[in-house]
Amino acid sequence: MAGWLDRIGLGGERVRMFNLSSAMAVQFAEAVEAMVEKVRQLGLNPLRQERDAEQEKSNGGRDDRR
Amino acid sequence: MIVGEQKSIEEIVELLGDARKVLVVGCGTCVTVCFAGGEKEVGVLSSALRMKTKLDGHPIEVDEATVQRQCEWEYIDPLAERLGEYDVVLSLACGIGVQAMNERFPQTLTLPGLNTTFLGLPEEQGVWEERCQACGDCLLGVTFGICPIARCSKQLLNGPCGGSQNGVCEINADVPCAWQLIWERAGQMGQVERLLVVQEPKNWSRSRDGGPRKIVREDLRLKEAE
Repeated sequence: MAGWLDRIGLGGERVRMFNLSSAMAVQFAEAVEAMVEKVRQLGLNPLRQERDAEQEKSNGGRDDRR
Repeated sequence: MIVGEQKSIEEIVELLGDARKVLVVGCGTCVTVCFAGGEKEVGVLSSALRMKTKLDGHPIEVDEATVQRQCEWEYIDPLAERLGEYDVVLSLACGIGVQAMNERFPQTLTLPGLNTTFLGLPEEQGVWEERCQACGDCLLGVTFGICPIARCSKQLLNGPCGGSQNGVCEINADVPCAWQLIWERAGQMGQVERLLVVQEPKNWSRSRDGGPRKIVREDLRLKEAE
């Protein structure tokens, strides 16, 4: 999956698989924090930005996400 | 089975050229088993094409279909009514499927999304190896079930050659020497003396050297009513 995202220009770092059991709550929280930090660094998904812009335009400038 | 590999997405996008509406057609037989062109791969590639072309600023519309067998008319005929909607078809079948589509539907260009690679088998999960070159004159009966045409780098009929070292071929340490394998199998069967018979030159006219091949089975043909 990461390879595909790299090949299409979306960035393979946007997805990562963590192998965790249900008893690994601390590691789960660390993994989520690491991914949130990574995605913040990378910025919004460019496809999502375009879709949101189209949606905002159709809503007359109102951004319903906020 | 026929084993294939998907072309790179860059090559596929280049092949598609100016097409704005594309039908990606998979095949449910060999290329499904080798994870190159089945229903799942059609879905993944179609999504990738939609996203990549959108990111590149030239979005294309991509629809999906998978037929059970792209190399037989009866399986591809149901696609006929859909094809008029598309600029091109991208086939994820082997080269036979691609040609079947072009032959059956000459008004629609079908492009290849795979490189058809060889006739082989899955040696283990994720690893496929060549086993047959469809030479038209099978030698397996005299080589103890191991094909020197597909598996010997020199296609020797009488081996091994001097490049066989410790059971592997001189071209690559990952390639087992086919003639070593044949020799060992003959030993296991207690029939090593059969390998002392020198094989005569092979009749290559039954392979590709004789041009495109064709089999006609009169007993199976549906004759026209007289």
